Amino acid sequence: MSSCLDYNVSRRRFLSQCAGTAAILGMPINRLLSAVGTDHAAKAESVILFWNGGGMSHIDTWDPKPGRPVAGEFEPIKTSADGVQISEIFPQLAKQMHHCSIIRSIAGTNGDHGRATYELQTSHQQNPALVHPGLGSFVVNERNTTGDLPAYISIGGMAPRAGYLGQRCEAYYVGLPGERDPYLAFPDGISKVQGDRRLEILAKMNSRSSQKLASRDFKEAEVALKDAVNLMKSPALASFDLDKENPKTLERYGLTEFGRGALLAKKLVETGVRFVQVNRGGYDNHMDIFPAMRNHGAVMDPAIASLIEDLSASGRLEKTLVIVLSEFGRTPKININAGRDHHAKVFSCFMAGGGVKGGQVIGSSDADGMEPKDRPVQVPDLHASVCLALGINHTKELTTPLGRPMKLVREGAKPVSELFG
Amino acid sequence: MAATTRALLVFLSTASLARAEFDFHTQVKPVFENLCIRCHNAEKTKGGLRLDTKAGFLKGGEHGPIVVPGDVAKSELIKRILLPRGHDDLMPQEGEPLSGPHRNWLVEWVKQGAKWPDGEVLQVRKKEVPGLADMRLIPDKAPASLRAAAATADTILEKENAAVKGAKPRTAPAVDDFAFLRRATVDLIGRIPTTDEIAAFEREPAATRREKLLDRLLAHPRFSERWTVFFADMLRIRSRSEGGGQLLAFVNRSIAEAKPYDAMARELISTNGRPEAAPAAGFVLGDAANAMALAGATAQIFLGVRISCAECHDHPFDDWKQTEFYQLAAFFGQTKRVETGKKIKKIYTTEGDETTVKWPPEREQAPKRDGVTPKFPFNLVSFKTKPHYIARLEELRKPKGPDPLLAKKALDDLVDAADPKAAIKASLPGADVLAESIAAGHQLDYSKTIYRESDLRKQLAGMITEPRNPYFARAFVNRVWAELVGRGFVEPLDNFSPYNDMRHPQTLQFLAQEFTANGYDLRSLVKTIMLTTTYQRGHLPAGATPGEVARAEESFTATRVRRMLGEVLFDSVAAAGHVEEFKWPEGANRREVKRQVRIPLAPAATVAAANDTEKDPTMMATMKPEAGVAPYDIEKGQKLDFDALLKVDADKVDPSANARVLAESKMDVEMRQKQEDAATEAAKQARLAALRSGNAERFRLETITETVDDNPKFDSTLRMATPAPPSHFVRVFGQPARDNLGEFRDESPSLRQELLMLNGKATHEASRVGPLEPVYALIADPKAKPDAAIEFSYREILTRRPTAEEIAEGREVIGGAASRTEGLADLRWALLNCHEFRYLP
Repeated sequence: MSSCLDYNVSRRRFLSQCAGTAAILGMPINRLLSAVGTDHAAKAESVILFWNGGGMSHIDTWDPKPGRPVAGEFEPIKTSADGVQISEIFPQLAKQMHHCSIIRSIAGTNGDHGRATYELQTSHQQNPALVHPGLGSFVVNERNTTGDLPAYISIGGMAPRAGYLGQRCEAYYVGLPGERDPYLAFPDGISKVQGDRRLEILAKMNSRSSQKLASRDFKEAEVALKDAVNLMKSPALASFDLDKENPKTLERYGLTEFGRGALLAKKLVETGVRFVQVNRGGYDNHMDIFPAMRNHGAVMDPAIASLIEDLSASGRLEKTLVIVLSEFGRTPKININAGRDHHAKVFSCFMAGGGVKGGQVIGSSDADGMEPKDRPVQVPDLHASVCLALGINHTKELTTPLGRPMKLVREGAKPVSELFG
Repeated sequence: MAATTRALLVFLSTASLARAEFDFHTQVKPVFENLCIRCHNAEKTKGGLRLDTKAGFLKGGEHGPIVVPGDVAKSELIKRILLPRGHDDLMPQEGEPLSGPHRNWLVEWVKQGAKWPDGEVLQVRKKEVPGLADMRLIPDKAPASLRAAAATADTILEKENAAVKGAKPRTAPAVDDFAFLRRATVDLIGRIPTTDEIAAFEREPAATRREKLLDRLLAHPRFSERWTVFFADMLRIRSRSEGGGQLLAFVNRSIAEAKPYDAMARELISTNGRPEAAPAAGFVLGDAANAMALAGATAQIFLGVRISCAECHDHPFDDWKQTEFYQLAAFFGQTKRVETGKKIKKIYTTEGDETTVKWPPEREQAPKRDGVTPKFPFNLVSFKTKPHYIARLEELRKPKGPDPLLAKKALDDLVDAADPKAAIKASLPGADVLAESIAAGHQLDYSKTIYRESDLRKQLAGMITEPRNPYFARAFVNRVWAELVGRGFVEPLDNFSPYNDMRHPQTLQFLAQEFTANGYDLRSLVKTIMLTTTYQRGHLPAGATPGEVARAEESFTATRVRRMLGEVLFDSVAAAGHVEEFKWPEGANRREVKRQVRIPLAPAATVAAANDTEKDPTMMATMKPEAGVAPYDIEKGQKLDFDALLKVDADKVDPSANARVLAESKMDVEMRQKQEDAATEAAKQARLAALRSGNAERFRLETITETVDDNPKFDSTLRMATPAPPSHFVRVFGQPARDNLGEFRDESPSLRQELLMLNGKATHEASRVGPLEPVYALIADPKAKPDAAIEFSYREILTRRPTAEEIAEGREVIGGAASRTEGLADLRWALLNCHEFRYLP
């Protein structure tokens, strides 16, 4: 049963199909799902991916090079994890480092935004014949939603495509965090009473059609309609709303779109959403990188630090894998415009929660952050690691609509097992 | 899992197995031959296993013997065939799992010792209805008219159905006139009929009204729009990709001009150049001029053959060899995509001298790789006497006086040879960049050395569209048939293979011949299909079992309940509710709306400077959601101007027009320069200060109230930039992303679709009764009975009269509402949302 469920598909339909299969096997659904996993005791249930578009400088964030000519404007600071230092632009995050891991030795292969973004988000190299699903799509293909809400939600921009997994694995978009989706309520001017009355008339008309013709689609459409109405009335929708949040909470997350996105992501995973991607760009700093990174720090630091702090306080961090990722790093050399250019040979990523052992640094780059030194991590290894955290078999083979067998994660990927201690 | 499998086996063995003596020849052999040995034979030994010989079977696969005679539970073969659907290890891996009886036969066979008679060698069986190939059902004489051709197709189809053994499929009656009107209008012009069109149809004599209707619809301007969608799906046109907009406009114009399909295909396959001047080049650019991708796409799109699997290995489920794929790809081997210009990019395709297609394949890392010689891997049919359909095609194409298309080509050739110097002189270079772009533009448009045509692809296009190539017409007819009838003769539509089911090969063959004889004319084909009994059949009534429905639909004795395409559904809502035009006087819908706005915390000037993302386009690109995802905007689309996209083509006639294009580019460059100058040092410093302050992106929310005049009007979705953004109405209703081969429209219902219809702006506005639409007069007068408005609404929205029950229900709805117009709006809303609206009668 490999079906992916999100906003576009009726939950009930999935369950009824699933129940059919499970009945044949005489096995409850939850055991059936867990049987697919690997030996690792997967702790993560959901993922929040912060996608930093443009190629975020590794040296100015997770991999400082103090005392070297490439160091730039920022000093490293001590963190709550022994021996781990990060850039001064993340003072609050530094206090959460005992929950977090950093990989400093990702060996990227593409220095072009498009191709690198594709590889980092899908684990595969771009190829004209096929669109591979992004991380969120393949996660929800393997792991269904657990509540009323869509399984995969992308905030503030484009998530990668679902590719051959089809529309059912595409992300549900939230343009501006906190802004209400008008399709989840009757249109302006239609009261609840009038709306319900309309639904009653509609139900009568539909039942007349169903009595006339033998169409399975009618039945499925009626189930989808019922689910749609249930969702419109679901208390879970409150998770999309930020108006009722304590102003102090909003302030702590930073009063920015990104901060609101992080807060929304937290609420969504708490409601059972499997994968949330929060998108933000502006990292392609070919000029004046230091003021730009200062600003990035001011935006990211309160948001991500508050998220980790809150998830940890509520005990939810164990079940939520938080990732901060970008398509590549930036050159150690500072260019003539006080910027840094694209650098794929080595860069870093940040992970926390979801079973990730806190307070550690995995791998290292050389003295100037030019190339990996210890324990190089290949790009697809990151995707395999996310799978491991969630208990998904990353070597699983799927079939494209053309009947072509395709590995979930690119062939040869190995999870970074040190992440999970 | 093992325990449950065992439990299942015990269940199977005790409950449902006959104890009869087992026959290898009638029970095991056919299952192996039909389903297993395609992948387990002398040439393909998947998993190291051969199942075509006794020795191979006894040896087993990579993990040893697959059967323990007598012990079902320990036999890998049985374990594998009993796994749940979708399981990775389920056998067979391609196609449906084994049916119940087939499973039982193999289980019983293993139980009884899995005996394989000595010397028994199995062979792959190809799929066909037994005996059908020997019957000659296609008449030798040409049909006298399209109507006669349709009748012949019906007769052949009936006979082919009769050749299938077993119970006869249930048959659905023909649809009535109103249903035919709705179906045909939706299929041909992409929206439901208007009340005027209904009235015109009613005025026609009953005997001829269906055919007359088809003629009117085929001549309607919306026909080209609707069928552009068909081609756009087939060719995977993405209007935002390189040359995609031009390609879409090219297809649209080709349909409007009734360009023969073979001519269109030849242009698509063989054109090189810059899409602005040679729009058909968009097809090759769509796959970035990659030879491998184009070989796969060309075979699958134009010939209905999935040869692309043979790119990396011999086709696992078909007879194609990897070498054949490479030989096909070699036709594209010299084609390259070229990008010039730094600021103003020009992209075009041309031919190089070397081929990129080399053997052995790259992954084998051979020390030496040689260019592959192109070879067409498909066999053309041969015959002693020329069949009538080819003779008719030749007769049709005999030159008769000046052909307007040829005349235009002659003019184009003339212009190509013209001296472009005057054009270049007309624009004075103001910058190096401009000089460069002009030089590039000069060469691009006029130099034969940069703009080389592809002889190889011309040859290929010739062979593909050759009337003796049976694949070409058949693949297209199959697609058009499926578009209209709801199911192809071959499914998936682009998978013609001896191993794939085809129950009506001669009906398809006949239609393909007629399509060829009629000069590959889309409209004639469409009309023939729509005149068949098959197209005009209704659906099976409620109570029919899923098995009966499936059997009738695959036998074409009943049609599938089809949903309108997403584009068509949206346009039909707009047509039914008269929201293609304003239906309210200006100012009639003024109302106050509350809206949250973001007030920046940093000083206004610095924010403006910080937001100046001119210098950092990535920031814009990655921060902004894809166009059209803002709330409620997702029902709007970016409208494309096809004429403007093809304008440059026409401009070629006038060399000074090229100068105009270049002059526009010059203005672009100068404007950019000015903007850069305007970004003074002071502004830059302010921007950097804002970034350093950490306040650049901080804001507080404020709710404001504003007055809007809510009187929307919606453009046709058939002309939208395409594919639409993923969350757009038409995408949610199945428009494919057009990235992949073999990607078809998904018609399954979904929750998101329901939300877009229930609460969508278009449905809402279409339901509201506006004073400028016809029904208003029938309901606004408080003394008038509501019946007329109810009848009118049914006619306008569902293309039929309401029943007495429905009129009574309508009265109740209208009477129970706050006002009569609101009551009618409720009724209309329900009519727009009901199954009957979005599914065709």
